[in-house]
Amino acid sequence: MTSSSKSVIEIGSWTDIINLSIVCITLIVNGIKNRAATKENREQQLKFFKLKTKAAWFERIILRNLQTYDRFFIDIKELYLSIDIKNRKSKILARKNYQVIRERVRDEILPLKAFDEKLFVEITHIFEGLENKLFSNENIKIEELNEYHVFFTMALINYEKNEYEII
Amino acid sequence: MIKKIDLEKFLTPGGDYLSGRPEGEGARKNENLDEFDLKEDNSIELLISDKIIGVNISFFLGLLSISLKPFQTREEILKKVKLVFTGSDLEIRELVNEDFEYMIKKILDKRDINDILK
Repeated sequence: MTSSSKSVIEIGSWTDIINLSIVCITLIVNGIKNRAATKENREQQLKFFKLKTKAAWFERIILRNLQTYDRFFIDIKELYLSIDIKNRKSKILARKNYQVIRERVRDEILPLKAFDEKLFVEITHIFEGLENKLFSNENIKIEELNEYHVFFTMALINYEKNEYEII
Repeated sequence: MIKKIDLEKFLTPGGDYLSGRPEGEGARKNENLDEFDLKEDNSIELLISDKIIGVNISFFLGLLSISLKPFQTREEILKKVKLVFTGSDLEIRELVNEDFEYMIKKILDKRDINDILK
């Protein structure tokens, strides 16, 4: 072997080593990148899964029971129409009927406490406000009672918007 | 020591129904219940006349939620606070008792299926 051919081999070997190193570094960097991407992807998937599960519960607890809540507000309006605020007996009877209606809706709404306590508190405050209005002895208009149904609907819409539209 | 609180005095003029958390908190302040609660053995009797046809849970909670916070069972709550009916109208007794029970449930919120079905 001549000295010139030996130096070509040597140069060739160094080039190979450098190339190999570059390949290795690239593989490592890509590996780290992929791992980070997979982790991010997994976190994203988990976030979606949680959101989807929560949305399913929201549907089960609230949206499928909207008729019950609508019935509650209709019952309250019927009760309002039946009260003679100058007649004690009439008010006592209305209280009794109200307690039955209240108990029924409470059974429906209780699981919401476990689902989202803030929403539960907001809605129960609306119901309490409605009860206060109903037995306040004031000459209230039926439109004032309707407002509480509107507050209730708004509370649900705002909740859904805040929880599920910002992804 | 037992503190007797006559709820009739918190009715609005011409009113027959107690309502509002701020009103309940006002009654609490008026009766110095924060100070009264410092002694564990102290208990409260709420005097209910026939004039009162109902008590909204918000009033009850404003008045009592701090006093009842440490308690975990209905029995403990009933040991701390009792309703005493000063009138003779049984319907009033039934109505206000129901309101009081509703408050207890709200505080505990631990009803099981048997409570719901009874």
